Amino acid sequence: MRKNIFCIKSSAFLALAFLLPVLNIPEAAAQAGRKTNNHDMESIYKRIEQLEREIGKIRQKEPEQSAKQSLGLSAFNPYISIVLNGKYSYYSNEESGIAGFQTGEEGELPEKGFSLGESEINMGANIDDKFLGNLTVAIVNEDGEDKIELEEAFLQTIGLPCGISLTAGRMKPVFGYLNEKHSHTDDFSDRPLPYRVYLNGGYKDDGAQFAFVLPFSFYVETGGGLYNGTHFPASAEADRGNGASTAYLRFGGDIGTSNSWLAGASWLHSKNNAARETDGIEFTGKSDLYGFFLKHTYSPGGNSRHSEFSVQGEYLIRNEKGFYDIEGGGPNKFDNKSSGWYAQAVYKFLPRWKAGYRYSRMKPEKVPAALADTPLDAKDHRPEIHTAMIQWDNSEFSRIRFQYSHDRADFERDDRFTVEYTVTFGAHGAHSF
Amino acid sequence: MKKIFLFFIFTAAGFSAADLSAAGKTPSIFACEPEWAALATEIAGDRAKTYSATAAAQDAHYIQAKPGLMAKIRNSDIVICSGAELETGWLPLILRKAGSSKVQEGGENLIYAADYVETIEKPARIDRSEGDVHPEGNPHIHLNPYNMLKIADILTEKLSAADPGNAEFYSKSNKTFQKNFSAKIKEWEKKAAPLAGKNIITNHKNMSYLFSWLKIKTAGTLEPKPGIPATSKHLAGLKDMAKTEKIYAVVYAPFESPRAAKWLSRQTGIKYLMLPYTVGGNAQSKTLYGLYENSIDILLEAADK
Repeated sequence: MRKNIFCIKSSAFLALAFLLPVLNIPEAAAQAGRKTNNHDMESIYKRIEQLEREIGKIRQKEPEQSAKQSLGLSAFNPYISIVLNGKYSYYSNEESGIAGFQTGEEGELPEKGFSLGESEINMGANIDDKFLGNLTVAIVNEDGEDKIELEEAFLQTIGLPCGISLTAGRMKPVFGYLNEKHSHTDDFSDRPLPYRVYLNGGYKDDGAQFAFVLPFSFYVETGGGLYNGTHFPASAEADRGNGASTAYLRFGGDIGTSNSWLAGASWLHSKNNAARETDGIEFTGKSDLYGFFLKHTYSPGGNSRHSEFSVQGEYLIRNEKGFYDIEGGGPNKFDNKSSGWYAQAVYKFLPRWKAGYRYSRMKPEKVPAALADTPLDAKDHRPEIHTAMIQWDNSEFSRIRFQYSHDRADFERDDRFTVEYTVTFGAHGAHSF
Repeated sequence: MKKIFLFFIFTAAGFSAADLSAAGKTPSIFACEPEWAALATEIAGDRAKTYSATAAAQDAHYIQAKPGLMAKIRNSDIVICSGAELETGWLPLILRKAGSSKVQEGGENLIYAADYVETIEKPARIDRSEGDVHPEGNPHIHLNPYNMLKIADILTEKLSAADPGNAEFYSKSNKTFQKNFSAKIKEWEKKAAPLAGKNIITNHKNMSYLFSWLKIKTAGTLEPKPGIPATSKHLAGLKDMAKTEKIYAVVYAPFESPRAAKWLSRQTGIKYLMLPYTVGGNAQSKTLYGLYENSIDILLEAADK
């Protein structure tokens, strides 16, 4: 629109510039009788010179304008951004798992040696004045095979009254702090224990979600959603579209310009009326997952580009009711509660350097006698991982990270080293909190 | 536990509904940067609530989509920002997440100032190997005071449409502003005349509009590429350049680290100056008038030192 107006303006100006000298001639001729010819010619020359300068200015701008307009239909292309992520990992104990828990495919650690994390393509655009759309596709390697995974494909309403928005499609539902985040924006190169155990790294599903942002001077948002329940931790028969449901409340604000905080509580109810199978172990029943989180950042004067200190922690509780079947051995009744948490601190000590430490820990459920000595029995072991990282950001768009984990999640310890790169290109990514 | 959750959801929904009846209150203006908040105050006075999302000590490009910002933008009637991708890392995200009904991308109540003025320094090559380049040109348009006059008109128009009851007041204060500010511009130009033609090194090209207005030349930047902090190799190059070219001063903004500027100053004897950059950037720049006045004063004083 602005380009059009500019275009009309400049062409009108050009036309006027050409016409003016012509229009001025009769006037100049009329004046000829009263004033000396020399004086007249001088002012006309001056005027011509001035107009030539103006025309020159406009002509200089012309190529730029036409270059812009030749975009034509491609001007309506969505924004596209691509994330590339790769790792080199060393494990002292390759067989390491998490004692007492079964994780989904994506809750597992990457292969040792070189591995590609998620190479991700993200596209989005405003569809019209009421909707925006977003598509995220990840290319992942599972068991040596390259697979295309649909991470997100949703549309979201914009401009609904009283702070309401609706999202429908494939999405990462709001749960806790990390679930809706893309893993390349994380501070560590793997997810903390409770996310790997309870949410398969991050729960995503097909469904519909609503959110209200309340009209307060600080931030309060509440919402929830209904999902098919076909992804871990749910395993519902997708006939009613309510195999999983969520509800959440989160609030936050700023304290002066230097401090910001965000806290929240969430609930994920999932049905497992079809068996949820992981490594030969099947669960049928239902599970409720509760999550609580707190995040606080401090950066002097709010200038987070120079230095920033952030702390973050989450506590997750899972209540499972149903039956566990170990490798076809028949159902065993199960009604138990387990929990896990992590806490982390990350310090940006130079504009391009960050260092961080994270501790995560699980409290496994006490298994009934029938399940003793199965992979679900952690005995008295408490899985825990100490993780430290240091990362260097060349720009907003590229970074290299070194990470060390002292992993005692399984009965035997595992020392892990990871070197990881993450780059994004295309549309400028968001600085999410 | 389930009951507690459902209780919260329904209570919250109740609050949302109550919001519907809160129409007809004082309009709220959300300004992305302090200069736009200052301009809004010139036009709206106390007839609107003005909030600045960033302070002078913050680099407006590197802001995160903080929860406090979401709460503020959700309750605003007008949003005014620099545009040209300056706020691209956080503004679209908070607009999306805040669920605002009045302000949205492409809507009438979202003003991107750069859309209404001629931007300069449009990159010939749009490639990130050139750093964090902005295809739409340099977004820091506020330091040319003529741009402020144009944006004051736009803001008055949008504000009057959003709050017709006070339209007359806004138009009147805009007229006063246009008159006083234009007179000041002429004074500043006269005062700054000795600065014309001087060479300056700047940390990042965020004060180009000030320099192009005052006919000061930018001889180089401390950053090797936009958004990439100064490197020793690049600084050594600037030191060599200073041997052959007469550099008047090295300047940086309040939210930038003075280290590179100080280093170059020590090596070459060129003075280093912190310019206020925006309203509130130093003690003398509390208003829009103070911002330009003080920027010129600091630049002129460098000659006397």
